[in-house]
Amino acid sequence: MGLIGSGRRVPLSMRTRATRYVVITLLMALVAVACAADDTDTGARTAQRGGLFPDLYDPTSAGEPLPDDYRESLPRDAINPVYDPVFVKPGEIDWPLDELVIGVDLNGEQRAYPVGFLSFREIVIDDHRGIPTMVTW
Amino acid sequence: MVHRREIDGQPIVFGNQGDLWMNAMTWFDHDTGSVWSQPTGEAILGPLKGTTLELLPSTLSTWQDWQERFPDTLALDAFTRRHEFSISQMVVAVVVGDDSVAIRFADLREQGSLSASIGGEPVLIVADPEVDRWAAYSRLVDGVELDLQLLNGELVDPASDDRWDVALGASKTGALPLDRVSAFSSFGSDYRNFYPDGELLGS
Repeated sequence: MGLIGSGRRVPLSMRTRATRYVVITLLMALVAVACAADDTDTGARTAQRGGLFPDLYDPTSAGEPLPDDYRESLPRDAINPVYDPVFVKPGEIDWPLDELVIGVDLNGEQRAYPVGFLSFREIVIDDHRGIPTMVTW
Repeated sequence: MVHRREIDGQPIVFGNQGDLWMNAMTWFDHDTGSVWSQPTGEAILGPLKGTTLELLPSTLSTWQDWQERFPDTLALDAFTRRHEFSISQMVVAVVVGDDSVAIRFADLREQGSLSASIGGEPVLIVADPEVDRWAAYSRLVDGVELDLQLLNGELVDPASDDRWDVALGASKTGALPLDRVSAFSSFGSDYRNFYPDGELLGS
């Protein structure tokens, strides 16, 4: 969710996210059907919940009881995290000055992550001067 | 939100589970495949169920304000898209153990700072007087609980006259720096969903 919303009863961002998940799921289903026409195995693999991680344990496909209000939506990493973030000096990027950023100040070094980017990649796996961090929205 | 992706001292890589729990994001870890909830930082399914990641201090501000405050900052090499909200719509939440307190940023800005005891920890949440940014500090300094006040754009301990920088917590009078406590920005409705027992202050 990114802990954002709008203060309305159903936060806008959540509806946006849920809608996006539905759209991406439909696209993936189409891809799976198309693959299945050529190659049944490939289609089945594409449709697997594990996505890019077919051999990793997944509690949802292993049959663990799911908590209330849990909705299976997309395969793993269908929204792809940033696993190898690159950082530059402020002069090398051209974000609008009113862009919101998540600012992190650890071990004497500051890093800024723009919300306008995080809102569609959602996860940045980082190492902040020796501290393994994860920035999420 | 920013979490320390480490369990028992071992770094762990996380991915996007792609599911929604209470309308919120879920992760999986590459080691065990356990499923985690973003707003709580806790594993809700799988072998690590019940484990919680440490929330790290972070702040939300405009790019201009952040650069002015930290000219040497690094920036994630990324493009951006427009968003449709501002900091004043959000709440600042501090979580210590099972206890939490949140205050609307607009109210924090108006009153300057908020002293609270959260999970037994004396905490000060303060709005930066110059820019739309906030910080949260422990009021315990060297084991002594201070009655920190926001005066003339600085944090002041009336008992000792020690002064600290609002944004950094650095002492201006040779005292120890203030320790940050973990806090995050959220929309009020999301905060209520995930911290139903937490106290949401302000209008």
